Amino acid sequence: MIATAAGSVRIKLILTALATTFIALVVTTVSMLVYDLRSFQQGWVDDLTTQAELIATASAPALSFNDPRVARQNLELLRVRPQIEAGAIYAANGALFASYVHTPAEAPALPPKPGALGYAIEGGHMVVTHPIVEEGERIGTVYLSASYRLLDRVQSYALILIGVTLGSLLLAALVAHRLQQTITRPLLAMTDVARAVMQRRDYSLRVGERASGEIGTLIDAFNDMLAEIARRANALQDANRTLEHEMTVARAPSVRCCWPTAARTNSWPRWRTSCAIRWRPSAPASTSCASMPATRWLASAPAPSWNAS
Amino acid sequence: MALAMMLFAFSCLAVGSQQGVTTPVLERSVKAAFLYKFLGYMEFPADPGPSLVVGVLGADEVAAELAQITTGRNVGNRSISVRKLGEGDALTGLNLLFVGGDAALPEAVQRAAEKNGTVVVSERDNGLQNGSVINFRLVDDRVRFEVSLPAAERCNVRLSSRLLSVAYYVQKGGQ
Repeated sequence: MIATAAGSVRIKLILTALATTFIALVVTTVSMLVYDLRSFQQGWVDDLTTQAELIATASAPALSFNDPRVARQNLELLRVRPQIEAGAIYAANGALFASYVHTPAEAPALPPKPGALGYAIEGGHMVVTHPIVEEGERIGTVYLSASYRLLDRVQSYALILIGVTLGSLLLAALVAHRLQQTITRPLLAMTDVARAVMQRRDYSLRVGERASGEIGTLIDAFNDMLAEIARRANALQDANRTLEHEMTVARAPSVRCCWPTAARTNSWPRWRTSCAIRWRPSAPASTSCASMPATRWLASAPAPSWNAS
Repeated sequence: MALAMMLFAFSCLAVGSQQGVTTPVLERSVKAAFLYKFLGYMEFPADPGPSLVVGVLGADEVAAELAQITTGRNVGNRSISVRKLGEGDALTGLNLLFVGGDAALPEAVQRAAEKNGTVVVSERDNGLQNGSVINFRLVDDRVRFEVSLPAAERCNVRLSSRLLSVAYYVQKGGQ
């Protein structure tokens, strides 16, 4: 049960790390996607407007001096930008002056008259209408139509982001697996010792694992607790044994006793010479008469020269 | 202002619809519009003052048209005044001089005009050879123009490369 608890701690730790990583990644991903799509659109608008402005500036003389050939040549320069599918220059009266299509087969139809100035997104195309101004007068209009594949962009971007998210999660799982060991290893060692203590009642066992922080404190406290329990258990055992012995002695007073030797009689109080163990009932059980060689009963012998006074 | 816009729209209409058949009337108005627009592509060395003076010699219709177009309009921040000239009139103080096809410009007068920094625009087949800076041509029933850079240099006038980009023919220096 403890083992499964520790195991679940490991799994919980990894899951926590993964969940945190995932949420952080999702928030980052979504905000990046939104930002990218916004800047993608703005970038396209700026780009097309710049192109339109360049063409407008270059084509102003062509319009002024009625040279559609030069205007067409200017529009032909758009060939280097295949995304721009069609372009046109309209005169001030709205008549088509010059036009260009990248691939005639799939080009959208040019409007007969230029629309409102600015940009518009219609059916996968971005259309920019830009004025041609000279000497403060509008002498014509530039029209550009480019393929604007926002959905493709979203798809490819989302694919990349999903890939990155999965990769990051895998990496996070690996890192979390390694890092959680610093927490679970001491914890597992402690549960092992706890289990052994419960099974064998061996309070001399100690957790050998070292750790810092709360887990270190926990291990130290656990070891101290084991030591305290061991000490108390021993004391209790001793007390029990002594009590047992006392009871035995009380029941059979004729039991062999320790007699003071000649040397001892000099240092021991007179009343103590009767029996060392009787005199000191709390003596440890290991105190046997063997370590105090028995002598003859000297109760009636004259008192030793020792005198308290 | 509304009048100016209307005139402008008319002139643009004239330019825009100049395809195909070129009637003499339309040709006049197109040339007048071109003359006005040439001014925007020229850089005069000496400060020409608050207004640019365009002289029209021997082409009264063009002069009238040009006067109509330039009314209330500026080039840069200079107003434009149109001067109708007859043969023998003094050609001083002009920035641009249009010589109508019928009018003859004596060579001495042309030299003097060059020295004064007057840009001469003609409409003759050999206009550039005769020392004009700009010469109108009719190509495929369209009014086009050719430019002589050496002549512009003699007049001390700088022509914008944007103007040259739409010229039918540019005579370079060293010829």
